[in-house]
Amino acid sequence: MDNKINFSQLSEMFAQEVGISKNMSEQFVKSFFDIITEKVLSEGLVKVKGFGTFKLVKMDDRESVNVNTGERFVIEGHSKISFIPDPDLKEAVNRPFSAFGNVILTDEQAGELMKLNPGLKEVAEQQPDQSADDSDSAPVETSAVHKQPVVTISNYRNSEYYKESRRKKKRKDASRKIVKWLLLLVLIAGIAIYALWPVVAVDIMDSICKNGSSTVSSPVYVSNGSKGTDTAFAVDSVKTDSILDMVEITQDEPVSEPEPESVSETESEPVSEPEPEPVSEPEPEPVSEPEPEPVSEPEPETVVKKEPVIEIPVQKPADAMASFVLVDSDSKRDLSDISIADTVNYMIGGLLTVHVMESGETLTKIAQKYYGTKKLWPYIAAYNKSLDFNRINAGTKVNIPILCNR
Amino acid sequence: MNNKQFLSELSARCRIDEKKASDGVQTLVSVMEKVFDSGDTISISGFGVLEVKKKGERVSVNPVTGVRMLVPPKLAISYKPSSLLKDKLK
Repeated sequence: MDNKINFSQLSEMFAQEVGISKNMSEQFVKSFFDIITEKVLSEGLVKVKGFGTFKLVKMDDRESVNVNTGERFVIEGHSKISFIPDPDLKEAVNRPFSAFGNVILTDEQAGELMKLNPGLKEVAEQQPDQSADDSDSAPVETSAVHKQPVVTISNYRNSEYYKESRRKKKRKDASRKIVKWLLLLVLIAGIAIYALWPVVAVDIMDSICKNGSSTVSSPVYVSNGSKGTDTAFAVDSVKTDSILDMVEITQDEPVSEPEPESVSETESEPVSEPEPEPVSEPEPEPVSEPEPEPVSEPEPETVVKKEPVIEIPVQKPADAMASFVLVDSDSKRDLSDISIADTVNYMIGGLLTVHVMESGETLTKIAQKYYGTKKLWPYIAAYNKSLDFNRINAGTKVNIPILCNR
Repeated sequence: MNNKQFLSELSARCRIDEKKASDGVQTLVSVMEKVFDSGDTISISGFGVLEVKKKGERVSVNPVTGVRMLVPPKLAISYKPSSLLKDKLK
């Protein structure tokens, strides 16, 4: 840790690795670095596969200010050597942090984070070459341990937030759809009335002459009243058609709803999902709270019967936190014969528990244990990107994610 | 200078064939990887210092869309040329 490896130590390690004499390895290592230094000076660019690229960068003159005296002075243009490591090497060095990815933040989350960690810098994206954080650079290992949980928590938060916003969007889209259809219908009806107005008007005049009792304000009734003429019939059929349309549409929407609260106008209710899939979520609320505690643990049997919630009892650790809930709309469906196509319907909602692998255990076996079906193992693999599941040892800790319906 | 030219130059200097030179470079890089893995720095006189630095997590803002991203902490290699090399640059 924090040792300085010099030339002779490096060439000795290299000699041991390859199995050559120390003289040969020293010559090799020396010429390796000599060529890089010489050629970067003479040619301006040296690319070494697997190691990286050395480049000579020219810096122009620029003006700067002496911080102490406030005097302006010119920094003369000079050259700089930049080193861009090969992606392979970069990845290998960054392996401890490879599990993390970028996370999109909302303004609230950003504010919260700033409060939690005032040292955090906000940087415009255009300057990707960040100078190293001086305070962090010295104790690499300890600060790494310190920082890790922050990211995981925000990851978790973010996934929850993401789900909620998705659901809101879905609802919005659905209500927008209804409004669109209603507007369209009104428009069509208006056009039809407008186009057929002269005919209807004539008709009305006719009927007024005949009966003398109908009113102008309700042309539909009027035309219904005088079915004798052909024109009136045409109007009639158009009207009934459009009315039928409306009835069809207004009926269409509540069909997927178990209990139609009111017809068509209520915009807030979750309407049929865009996918034609029969598996729709009648109540998306339970998903929004992936915290395992609130589900009534003492009576899992009754829960299964009453609501379409399937609870799979898990071997409980000391805290009763780890109960896994898979929310499914179809209570009859057995999870053991879930089809492969259905396995893509879930999303990861957070950390359920940490599983320590025993000898003979595979991912599919863990999936069977925690989810009731082995076909959901890819979620565990996706949640533990840093592990190589083709060569896994007993005692490896595996994070088990909570799965929720999409 | 690309990788091919580099390997031919290296093989000429060490009087070995290019295949061996390429293998040697690979092994040398993997040796260096091990050194970085244990948190050590490599300092070669006349060349410079290669070391692993930890870059803290940061929030980056896309100036066009205003979208904030939390960029995770990472370990990166940094290279600092030796003062000898710096003098030659001027």
